[in-house]
Amino acid sequence: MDALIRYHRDIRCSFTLTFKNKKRMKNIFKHTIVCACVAVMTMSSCNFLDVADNFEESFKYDSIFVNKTNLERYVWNIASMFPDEGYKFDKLGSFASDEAFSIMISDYTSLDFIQGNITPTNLRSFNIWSSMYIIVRKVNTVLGNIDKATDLTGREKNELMGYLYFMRAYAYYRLIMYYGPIVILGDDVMETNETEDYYDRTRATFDESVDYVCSELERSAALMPDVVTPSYFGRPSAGSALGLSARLRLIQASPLWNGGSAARRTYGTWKRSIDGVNYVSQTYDERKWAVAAEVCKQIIDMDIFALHTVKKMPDTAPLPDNVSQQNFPLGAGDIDPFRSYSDMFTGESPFARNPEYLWAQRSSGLVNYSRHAFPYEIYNGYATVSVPQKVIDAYRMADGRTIENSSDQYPYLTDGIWNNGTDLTFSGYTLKGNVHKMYVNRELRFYASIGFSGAHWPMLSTSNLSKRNVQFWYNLNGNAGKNSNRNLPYNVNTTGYSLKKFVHPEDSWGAPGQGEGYENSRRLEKAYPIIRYAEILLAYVEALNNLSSTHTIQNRQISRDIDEMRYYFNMIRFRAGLPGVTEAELASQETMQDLIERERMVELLHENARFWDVRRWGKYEITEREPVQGLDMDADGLAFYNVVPVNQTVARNRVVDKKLILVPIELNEIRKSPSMDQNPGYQY
Amino acid sequence: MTIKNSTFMMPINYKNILVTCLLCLFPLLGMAQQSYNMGGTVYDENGETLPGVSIFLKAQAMVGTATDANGVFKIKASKGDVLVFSYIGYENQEYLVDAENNKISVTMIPTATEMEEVVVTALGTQRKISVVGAITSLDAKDLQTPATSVANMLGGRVAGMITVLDSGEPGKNISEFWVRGIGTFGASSSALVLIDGLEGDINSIDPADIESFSILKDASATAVYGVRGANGVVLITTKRGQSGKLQIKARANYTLSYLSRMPEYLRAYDYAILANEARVVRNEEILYDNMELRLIKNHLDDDLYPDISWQDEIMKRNGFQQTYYVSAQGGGEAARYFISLGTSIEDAAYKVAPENTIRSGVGYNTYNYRINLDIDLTKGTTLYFGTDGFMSLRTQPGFANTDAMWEAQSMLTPITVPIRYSTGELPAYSSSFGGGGVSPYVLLNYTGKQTNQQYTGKATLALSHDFSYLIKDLKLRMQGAYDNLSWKDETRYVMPELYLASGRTTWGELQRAKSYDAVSPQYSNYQRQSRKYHFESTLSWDKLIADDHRASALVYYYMSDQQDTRDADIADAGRRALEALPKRYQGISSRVTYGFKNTYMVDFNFGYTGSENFEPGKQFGFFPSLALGWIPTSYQWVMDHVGWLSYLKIRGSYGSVGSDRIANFRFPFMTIIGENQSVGWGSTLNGVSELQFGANNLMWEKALKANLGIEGNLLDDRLTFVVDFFNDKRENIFQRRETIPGYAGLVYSARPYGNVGSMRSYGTDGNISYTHEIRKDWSFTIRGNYTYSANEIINWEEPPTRYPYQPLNGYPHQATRGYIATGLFADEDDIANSAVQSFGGFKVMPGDIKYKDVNGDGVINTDDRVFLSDPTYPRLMYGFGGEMKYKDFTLGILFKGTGKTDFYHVGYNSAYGVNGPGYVPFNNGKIGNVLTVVKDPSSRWVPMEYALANGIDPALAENPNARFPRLSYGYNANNSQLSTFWKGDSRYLRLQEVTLNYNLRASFLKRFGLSSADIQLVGNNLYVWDKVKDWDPEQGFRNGRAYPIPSRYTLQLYLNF
Repeated sequence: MDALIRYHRDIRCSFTLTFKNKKRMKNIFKHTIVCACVAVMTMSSCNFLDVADNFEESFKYDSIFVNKTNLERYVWNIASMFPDEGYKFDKLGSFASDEAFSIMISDYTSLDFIQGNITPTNLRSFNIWSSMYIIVRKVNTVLGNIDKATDLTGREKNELMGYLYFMRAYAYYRLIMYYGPIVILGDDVMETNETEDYYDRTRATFDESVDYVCSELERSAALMPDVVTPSYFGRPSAGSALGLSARLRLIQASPLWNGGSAARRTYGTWKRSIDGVNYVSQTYDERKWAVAAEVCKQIIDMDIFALHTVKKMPDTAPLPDNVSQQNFPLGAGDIDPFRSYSDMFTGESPFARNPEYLWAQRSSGLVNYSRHAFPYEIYNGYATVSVPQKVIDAYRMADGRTIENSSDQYPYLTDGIWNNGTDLTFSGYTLKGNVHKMYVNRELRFYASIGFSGAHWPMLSTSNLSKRNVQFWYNLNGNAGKNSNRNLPYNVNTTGYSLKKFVHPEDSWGAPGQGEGYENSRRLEKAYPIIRYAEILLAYVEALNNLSSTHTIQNRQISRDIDEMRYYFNMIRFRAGLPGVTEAELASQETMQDLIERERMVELLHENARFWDVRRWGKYEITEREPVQGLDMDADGLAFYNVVPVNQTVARNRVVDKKLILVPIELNEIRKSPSMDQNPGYQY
Repeated sequence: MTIKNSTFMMPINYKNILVTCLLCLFPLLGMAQQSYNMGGTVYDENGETLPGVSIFLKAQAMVGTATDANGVFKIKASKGDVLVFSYIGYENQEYLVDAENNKISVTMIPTATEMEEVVVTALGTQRKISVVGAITSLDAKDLQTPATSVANMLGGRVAGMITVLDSGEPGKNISEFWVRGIGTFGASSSALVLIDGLEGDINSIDPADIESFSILKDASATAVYGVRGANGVVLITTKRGQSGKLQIKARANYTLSYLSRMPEYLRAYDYAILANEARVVRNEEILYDNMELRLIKNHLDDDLYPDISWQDEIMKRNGFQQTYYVSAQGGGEAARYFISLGTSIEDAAYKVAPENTIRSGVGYNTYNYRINLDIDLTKGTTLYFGTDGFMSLRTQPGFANTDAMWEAQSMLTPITVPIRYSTGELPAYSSSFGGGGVSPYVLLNYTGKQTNQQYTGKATLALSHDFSYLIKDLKLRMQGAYDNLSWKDETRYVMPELYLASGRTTWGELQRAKSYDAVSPQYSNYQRQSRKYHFESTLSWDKLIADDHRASALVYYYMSDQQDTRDADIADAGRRALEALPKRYQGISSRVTYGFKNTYMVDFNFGYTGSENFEPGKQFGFFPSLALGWIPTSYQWVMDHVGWLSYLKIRGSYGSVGSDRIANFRFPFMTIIGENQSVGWGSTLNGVSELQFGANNLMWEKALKANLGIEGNLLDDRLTFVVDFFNDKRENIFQRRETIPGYAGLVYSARPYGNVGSMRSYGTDGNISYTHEIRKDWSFTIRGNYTYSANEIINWEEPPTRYPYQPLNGYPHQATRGYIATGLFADEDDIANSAVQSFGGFKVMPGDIKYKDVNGDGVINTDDRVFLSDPTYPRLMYGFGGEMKYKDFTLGILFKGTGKTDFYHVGYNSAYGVNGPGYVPFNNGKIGNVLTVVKDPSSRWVPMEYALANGIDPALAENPNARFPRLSYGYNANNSQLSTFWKGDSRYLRLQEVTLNYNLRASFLKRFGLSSADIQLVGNNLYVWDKVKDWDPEQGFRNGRAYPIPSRYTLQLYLNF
């Protein structure tokens, strides 16, 4: 409205002369010239063309920085530009690795990647290059203008700077995880209309990239609060920054990126074209492990974080004899291991106060992800998350032995149905008596994570009683099997295992076509742990395990300290209700490395670890070449339980190629900047 | 009778003037001793009596009278007196009194207004001889033939105009036009159209209202428009009142339009036979077995195997248009007027079914009026008031998009569905193209009705004053205008239940399923308003000094303000408040001219103009231009020695003009912030974020225009010619920055613009005419004109491409790119030895199109696409024709044509989507219509084996030059690529217009109050010579999916009262 009034005023001041003239016909001659001159002058004084001034009541660019409130509105909008890490199908991670499988290739970019279909001209959702740099630009814009907000106190400014540094570092972190070496801009805000050479930049080496981002993360950690108040749940803290730094440091220290034979084999010839510098270091530097360990130790020493545990309850499963009965963390005597692990993923445990989360966020993506665990027909799931047999076999027996080496007390049997007669219940979980023997005597994390055939799905929120407490069967004619959904052949489980890790006993989805609230079905709100303490402990143990001498990092002596390794590794084991490591195992670096790798696969299942782990260990080509296996989906009865390679094109067409360690950069980005190099293996 | 040479050049006293005027009107008693009673009648040049002629005595101006309504006068005079007959617009006549005579007959002769021809130029008129800019003027009388719009009359008639008409449907049959072709790849390439100085729509004006029509082409002519003139300017002035006798002109015409050229499609049986071939030659099962073929052939089952010619069902081929127009022009000394009123009623050649009660056919009616008043307020002060209005009403079926009917007509096969099932239900075939699987018959007759109304109203008031008493010949004119446009679309949409039959039960009952639910009538409307204020003032001065020096100067100031609700409607929510802001211009421009002895001419023009679209402080641009002219024929020596050359002028100009409409959205310099954006990480604030990143250093698009012209008259002015050559360089073309890398952190979809593009356009245009008078009443004129315009992109910013032939630079704007077809695969060996072609996984077979592996990598993919040809609009356009006058008959003929313009039948992506369907046989399977030409075995690649097995002459099989590749049933990804295989040539020569005019002057007309009448027979678009044949060449790439351009036959009557 105001604009309209101003506008009319402008018009009036330019037209007045015409009307005034009419009143003064007598003096028309003398006045006409005067009026004409006045007209010209009036126009210029009116700023006739500055119409955009009429827009002043709206928000202008400059007003972002004038006060604290506007500044924060801009800053927290930046935060919204990061994706929801809990939704996995369109990201690197589980579905681009051997811990998940699906045949829904058209919908899931991650699957497309593992088929070798992602190219510089077809990046689908992997084109995060520009979107992350948008964040960098915005952060730099704020950093350059933050002093304009005069009502910002020093403390507030520091905290806000902390968040800003973190956002920028997190954007870079995501770029490193996808593309490897990055272009480091510092505090630059590039001009918007310059010539080509102004924009030409080069990529830093991998080490430079990691070093820069980790130092930025540490800078932000110093400014951000140590603890996030529950009302701001989702916001990062000092621990989040250090956690991401620890993850990056561990990657940097690992064989692929640290001059190991994998580094030479994979990246020996990848050099920056303008100066011939290797993007990936070709000389091993053990100190990098020590640096990683030091960051982990910093986090441990903050004394804020702890593994999530739930106190022992009457229905807690009895511990096997070889598990220490001492109180946690020296044993599992006083905790309920099943609930301790499971409750932090299902939404049961109040996540705003979970001490294990270094950084977690409410995730509707995770809730959606969990829907894919349910069968399509009747239960209204999407049934596209399948877990390969390899993961199933990685879970230990209840007493900590592997399935290949099981004990008589907790044997691993494959010869048929258990036929227990009664169901076994513990920690609110029901193991039905009619399941296959393969699924008996397994460690508790297996039950917390895997929806095997015959697993019990409580689905307690539904008012439809026939849909509560159901067993899902994945055999050919089972209620979740291949024949259950002939109409949508892609929405069916393909290995015989679904992912139960993020499913709460209350969770259910109603009936297809009836909407999500149908039959009172509902889901608990869930938080996705972007990084949690268990990973830090495993990273710490792994870093220490790779040291052969003592290093001094930040005035801290770091070496392969057996006591430290035992203490923190066992903490993970005890929380899962498993026995600790033996002294013999601890003594061998190689054995420990194997144990750590297996432990990571199980403990961090579907938490975006496996994809990068197998790559940094230099094992990607081995693990990926192993066929995707599952149960025989085309069979019923016992024949169903035969482990066979998954007979699907999507499984057969998986490509193993060194280039798939990294995502390509969009072709036009390479062409726009003459000094930019593409990731190895990608041509166009 | 101008005041200029009277003796009143004294200190001004209005009372004196008023008294004098009054005295003039009333005769005073004379003091003559011997007086005769004189009397008689005054006639005009046509022999009409002339009322209001003042008669006075030369010696005693105070004594006088005037003719009455019948032109009769009486006056007393003495012997020796001289009677002076005076009338505005006519030369004074004198009569010497020597005896009493009351039967004096005086014929008044109209003043040869100004013997020198003038040309309407930017901001006024210039003597034709002084013009040094490139300006084409069109004689308004050339525009008096019946046409659906003014724009449609320009092509072939005006040098410098390129036009394209791609639909013949009433309401859509309005040509697109460009002055000297397209010179920019920026946001706007269309010319500025000014009607009486105000921006307007060329098609909202009745040709009969036009007084003058000029096209300003070079920098010198357009510089004063500064930031708006880069794409050329079309200037139209409308008729104004003239004092004198009332002149009434009336026009009525009646036009029959006929769709003379329509694509022909196969009927059911032939279609079925070829459909079987399409299946068999791709190793698929036949579609129709022998039993079905018999049913089809004998029309035994009209439900499942109908045989419909959709064209015949929805077209009647004929349409009618009638227009009526009347104007009155006249006035006295103090005020003059011109008023006109016109209407046109036109319907389309759609065949509305009898049961269609709402008559939802297609029609386009227009109504227009104009009132121009000139009032002399005082001596030297004139007030001008003008108002005009235009209303159009378009009717369409409720489905509204008649293109969908054409699509359906060209794509729906005769056998897919019947018009109506024998059970009474209307059909729909389940698919979604065109009307979404609805037959054109249903679309036309059963979907309700839509009306689109448009109203334009303009009012303008101008005051001009002559300041000669201060500085001789100094004039000031000020004008304000208000222009209002509104649109209202109303749709009453309805849809009946539609069914699709799938077969028959064993008892023969038709099995059918509902495929469309009925939609009960839905009403919706859309309204749009646009309005504009405009103010301008012009101060002008010109003087002839000592007969040799002619100088003039002019200063022009203008400001305008325009707002359109659509700007906000189409913008994103976040930008609406911004887009809704008025668009404003402001500028001051000037022209200074000097001529010496009609031999040397210099014009200096500049515009200092601004637009609101740029950053404050950077809104104004300075656009100068200079033009020089030299007329060697003014030398005495040339006049004496080169007699055959009566006139020759050589002129050149160079200067710059601008264009401010650089982007499709406003204020690209501004970083725009959106509110209500999302926030993350536990924040509950209301987020803000950039919606658009402002670009630094933005400015207008700039055209540097050079022009060289030669014009001359030969053979006693019987032969005249004008030739212009131009070379324009467009710089600072606005383009989204393509080379800013991602790490600059700018949102790709909102990445900033920059003035980075540049482009060159060049060409020539000209016209020639020859007039020959064989006898006094027998003459002829022949005329020709041409426009050639080509362009080349100098810089189109894009990331470096992989192959050197991929950048757009160095090629014409909108050039077509695609594959080079090297023919059809001869056999399997040929396929095996050629580069791999696997479009969409399609397996090629002999008879499929083979493409050239341009980069030699053994695979045919997008990297093998190269520049194929110039853009699909014509680069050369020409027209020629003439007139022959014999006594009262005039025969006029106009041909128009275009130069070579390539188009592509298949794969070309335009505003209508990707073409191909309707041309490629069976392109959409069951809904892929087939042209009759395909029936000829040599027109398609038939495998020898199939030919032998099916009685096709083996000599015609495997024709390597076949027009269509091996048939396939359904979309064929390999053959549907845009390639040279599908190239067509849409150049044409059109017999655009033939006019036979008879000027009737018989005396019996007077009984009806008529002075003369013209009867015209006009034919438009009577014949086309071209290579497209199947449909109109101007619609080449539409493949028959557009309303054809009809032939039109008109009877037109002009009456002059």
